[in-house]
Amino acid sequence: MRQQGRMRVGRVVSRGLAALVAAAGVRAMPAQAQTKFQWPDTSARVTQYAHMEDCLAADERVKEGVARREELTVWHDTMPQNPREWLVPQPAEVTKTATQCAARFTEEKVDIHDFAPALKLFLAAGRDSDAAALVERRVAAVPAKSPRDRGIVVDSAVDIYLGARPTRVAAAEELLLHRAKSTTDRVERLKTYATLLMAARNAGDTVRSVRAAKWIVAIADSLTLADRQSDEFERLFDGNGGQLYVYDALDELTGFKTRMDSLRRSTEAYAKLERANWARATGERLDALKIPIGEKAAPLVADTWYPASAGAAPRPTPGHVALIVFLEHTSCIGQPSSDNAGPSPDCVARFAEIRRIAERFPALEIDFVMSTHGQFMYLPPTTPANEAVLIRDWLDAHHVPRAVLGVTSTPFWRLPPPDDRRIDKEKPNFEHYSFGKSWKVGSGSMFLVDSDGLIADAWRLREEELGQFIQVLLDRQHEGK
Amino acid sequence: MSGRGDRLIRLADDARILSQGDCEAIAKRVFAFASGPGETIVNVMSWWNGELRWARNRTTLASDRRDIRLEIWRDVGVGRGNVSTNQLDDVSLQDAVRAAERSASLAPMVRRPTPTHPPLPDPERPKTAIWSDATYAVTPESRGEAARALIAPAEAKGMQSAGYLEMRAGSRARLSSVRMGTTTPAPWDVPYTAWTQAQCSMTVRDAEGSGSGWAGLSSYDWSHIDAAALAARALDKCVASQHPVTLEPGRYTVILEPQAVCELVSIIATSMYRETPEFGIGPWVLGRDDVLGLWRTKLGLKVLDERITISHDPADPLLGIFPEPWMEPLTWFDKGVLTNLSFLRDYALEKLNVNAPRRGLTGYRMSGGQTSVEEMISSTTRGLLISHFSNIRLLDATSLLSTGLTRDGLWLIEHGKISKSVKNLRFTESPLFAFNSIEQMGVPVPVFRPVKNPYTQEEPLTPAIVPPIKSRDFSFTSTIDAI
Repeated sequence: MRQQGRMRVGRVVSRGLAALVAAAGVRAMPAQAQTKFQWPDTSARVTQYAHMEDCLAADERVKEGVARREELTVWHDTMPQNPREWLVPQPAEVTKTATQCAARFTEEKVDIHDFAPALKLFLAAGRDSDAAALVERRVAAVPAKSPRDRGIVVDSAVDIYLGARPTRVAAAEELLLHRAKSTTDRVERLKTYATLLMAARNAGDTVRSVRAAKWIVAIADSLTLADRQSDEFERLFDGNGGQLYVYDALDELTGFKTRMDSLRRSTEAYAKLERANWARATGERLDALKIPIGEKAAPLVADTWYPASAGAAPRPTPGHVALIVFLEHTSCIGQPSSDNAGPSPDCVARFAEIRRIAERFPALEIDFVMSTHGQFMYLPPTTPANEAVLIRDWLDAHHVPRAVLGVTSTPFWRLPPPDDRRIDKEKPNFEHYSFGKSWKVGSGSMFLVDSDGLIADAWRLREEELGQFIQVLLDRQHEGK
Repeated sequence: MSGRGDRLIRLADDARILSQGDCEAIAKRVFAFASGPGETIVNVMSWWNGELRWARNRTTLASDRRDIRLEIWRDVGVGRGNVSTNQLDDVSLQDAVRAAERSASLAPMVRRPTPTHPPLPDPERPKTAIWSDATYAVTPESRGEAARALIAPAEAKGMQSAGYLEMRAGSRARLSSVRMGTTTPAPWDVPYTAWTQAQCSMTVRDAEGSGSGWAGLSSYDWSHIDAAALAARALDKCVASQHPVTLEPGRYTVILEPQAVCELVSIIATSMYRETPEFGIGPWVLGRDDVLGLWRTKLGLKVLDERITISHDPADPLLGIFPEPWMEPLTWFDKGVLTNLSFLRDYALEKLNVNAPRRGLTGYRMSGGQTSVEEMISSTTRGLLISHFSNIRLLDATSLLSTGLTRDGLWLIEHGKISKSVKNLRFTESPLFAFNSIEQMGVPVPVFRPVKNPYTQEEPLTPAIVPPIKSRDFSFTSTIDAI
């Protein structure tokens, strides 16, 4: 939901009519003079700011101001994501403010304890050479016999480099490589190279990302069983395990073109490629991973279909390429009791993306799968049939062409009173489209199904890649493959 | 109201707060100044506060204050801006509306239009008794006379007294240019509501500083407060608490006067939220249900003595509360069984499929018995009589173990009689334990629990009706020097 907190707070011009007296019983006397409030001079003179934090704050204000002026005329929520977002330079006003403010700070005189704000400021001002010199000086200030402390400084610098706009991948890579080579801990090096892979990918730098991917795979091949079973390895990738870094790297090395070539042959070939990468990343057998890719898409079940005729035949329709979208209105529509209730930005973007996909591919079938929850926004509890109508109206407002909606009345029971909490039971569609213990379908899950009824994609690809997937499947359908 | 020449607004003494007609007239003037499409929302608030404070038997502060606060929102569809003012002349109102519109034009687009969203439900608000002409009629002169009457007995006996008298009134209305005059208000539209509140409290101490007595009462109706009785009570307690002796801490049977009971209930009141135990936190957690994957709570289980019922009816003439939407009669503890915890409307819609929040333990009436304090004393072999507590702090959120001090009089009971005044003690005890160790309960009476300004964001304390209670094995952990 759009944040309400960015409203401008209005001016307060109130003055109390206080009348204080010294003894009881004396009538209050009104104030004799009133001074009209005068706005103070709030213009910023950044060249006079003495502290870097003030400069950074000024920079943030200018950045915020630019963004808000843009928002007056441009709604970003329905626009495709910019794949080169990380490379877009910051607005010229922001650079100008940073340059003016940072002019009084020379690199040689910056205290190393001001390293972080100084580095941010130099990058914002475009003084990359000063930034590099500062980082070198800061790292050198840490004793060489404290690799952990040096690593902390390097990690901080890498974060700042990658957080700058445009992102400074080259500078970050230099630091990361130095960090990787200065440690013998293979798991630590794996993590370092994974950071580089992510940064390169965000920057659209395929040469760097492929290079980093190769290093990751090489490191992974050298890991012992003890390394792979260590707590440190398990904690990687947000606690999901370092094998996902390896899988990601193999995916990068495989390349999108190779994956599309496999998909053009058949969905089974594509699934086999994905499983091979997974088996290599984890050391498990090919069929150990429960993923939807290559599995048969189960027929969708619903109590109410819109249009009603959609329920007469199995969905997804055999022989057609279909996009199945699981969505719950409760996770899409914001705080139901708020007077500003509205769809979350993610949902708005999702609907816009699906609409563009639907307009681009007229032959693509679009199936929305939703379910009832006993309430719709701030309405009193309603019947499943009524709720289905409300869901349909809500979906219709997003104008996705040819969208079919299947609404399931969620079975539920309640804890005994006075608790009365609603406990939802498993819904058939959710059961059929969950695979194993680790792949659970939820609101936002999408499945791309080929004309043979096999699931070709469930990874929630970027719009551009999803479009290519769909094109390949439609071409196969046309060619009768 | 004044025109362009005089921008200072004075309210006559007989018009200290705005009437419903005044609020609607102001709102219409504001709506008329709006330019362009969109909605204008006006929150019109006025308040009056008359207070008198004294110490060492002499008045230290006497004031009579009043003000108006007008909050104006302009919602122009793609942005919303707001301005506050307390000037009601045409020039000022027009300036304020223009400022709100400028602010709205600069605000970012905060939300998309939602044409398919269903209309808002009508909120129901209870009719509550929160206005008293007697309170509103109190003048600065009569407050001074009341203070003289309160001070005189203590001064005659050579004691020092300090106290506070306050009468306040306010009104509020929140009106929308789109919905004003229609039958479909939004939940956040506030119909015109006027309220009053009065409070009187005083402390009497002897010249040596060895004895202290306190008494106080609050109500929306000044005529419900017997100030003379409060003064006499405070004086009697001061005299009776002089020259206290030291008593060893330990576990004692205690007779808690109603004010002390109210202070223990306040500890429980802070925990009465439903979502907290459903996250596994707080005193109402039963345990984890691994099959369902959720936390079970103690709702429906007996957690207090079966003689305790705590409930609130907004229509109760002694328990007036600022009327909020969906405020129904409620029982939190029914014969000791936990029956309700508060929750927000979002929770209600999602988890319970009901369209109303549930309020927490604010104003309440607690059940009691028929035993008088004197009867409790006469039936006690050894125990302590407690006036009230102060400086209570929560130590453990799960057990509600708390610590605090007895104040303004603590007396030892031996063989059915008050034998001596004792020095105050620090207690470390949980109200849940105390309310499960009850021996006797008395007749519930109103206590001192002044309502905070309802225009703030805090949930206001509201009147409470509480009995005296005799409870066993109440734990005291140290003596203190404070009286």
